[in-house]
Amino acid sequence: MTAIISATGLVKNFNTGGESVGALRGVDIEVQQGEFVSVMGPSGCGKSTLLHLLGGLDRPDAGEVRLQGARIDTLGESARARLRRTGIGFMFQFFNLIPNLSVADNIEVPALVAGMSRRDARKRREELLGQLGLEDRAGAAPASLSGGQQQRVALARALVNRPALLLADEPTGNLDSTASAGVLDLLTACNRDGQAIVLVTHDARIAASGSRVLRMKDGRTAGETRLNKGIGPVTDVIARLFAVEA
Amino acid sequence: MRNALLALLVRGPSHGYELKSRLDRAFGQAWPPVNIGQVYTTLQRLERDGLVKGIDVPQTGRPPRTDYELTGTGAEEVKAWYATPSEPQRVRDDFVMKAAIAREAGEDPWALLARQRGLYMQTLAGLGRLAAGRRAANPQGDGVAPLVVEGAALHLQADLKWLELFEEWLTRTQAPGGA
Repeated sequence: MTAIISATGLVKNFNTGGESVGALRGVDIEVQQGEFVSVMGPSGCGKSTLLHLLGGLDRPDAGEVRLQGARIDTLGESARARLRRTGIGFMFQFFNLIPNLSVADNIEVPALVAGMSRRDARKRREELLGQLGLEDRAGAAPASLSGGQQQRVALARALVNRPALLLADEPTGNLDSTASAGVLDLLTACNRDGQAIVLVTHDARIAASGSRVLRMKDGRTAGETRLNKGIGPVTDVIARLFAVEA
Repeated sequence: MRNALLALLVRGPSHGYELKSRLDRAFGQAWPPVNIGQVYTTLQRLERDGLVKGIDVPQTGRPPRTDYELTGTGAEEVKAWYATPSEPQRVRDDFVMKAAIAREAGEDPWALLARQRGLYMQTLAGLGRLAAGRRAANPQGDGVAPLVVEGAALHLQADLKWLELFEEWLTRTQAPGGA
């Protein structure tokens, strides 16, 4: 089975003030269909850079990125932009919604731009408004929504073209704990429906939503943990941590 | 459990099974259910220590039920419990010991670290799912349970950060040419 995304030997340097900084120093990653992979690491470890390369937002200085088997790192900017519209959905920490469009139009426009018919785009928009509980905010301006609601709109935008891969960069970074939980529940539900997701975060708790957690440090991968399904003996853990004595 | 039982008696007498139910309800399903035998044993000890007094309540067609009532001393104990700030959690020292003498014991400290990290992440994953399950079952909230789960998760986050410090220490103290 072809991996949804596969990258080998990724190197990316940034030149700041004449000095070259190695943001990525040789990273390999593969994500299978339906996988939910978290990439975790401290600020500066290169995880966001990695996400940008996987999404075709930038090109590596060395290495390859393949989306469903086809190389994307060699594509020019307009080809990559086309790819981003249909093959890859993005969620960012600061929502990145279009401020002067309504919630409904924010969701619908990427579908139209990607070439969906007006009727199909309208149908898809209504479907997502319903699934994400946004029907009664459909005509509102993004700025009038709470952070959690805005991130739900961002998720709808990201999913409107049924992308092969959803990339999320610190999607809960700007949200309180209740809204964060809500967004994570939605991402988990999407993944249960078969959506492949790569989520980047510095927060171990968010990272633990994935089925696989890749650690990064100083521009390299530094280990991986596969997470079993199910809850496990956590109530015992809780009882021990909060040692209630007789 | 001693202090919790005394506290539940402040507003009036209660019996063993009712006290168990009230405790279970207060904590929600983040906690294993309270053991009824332990409740009875604790109540008996509290009575022996003069903090509660048992009152037999006759019941039709059944043996009498024992209600427990707080004594003056018991009431003072509850007040003192609430008035005294609780000690911070004890640090789990088992891993610290393993880590400190790993090399001397001929163990690979990096593998040790990876195993420990794996357990913490797996536990965080389980806590996350428990919390998600609670949210789905109780959108309005679930007593103290979400806070308890949060607390456990925060402790694990701190433990993971500590592992990162341990990793830095390993890197710094690595013998030249590899440990």
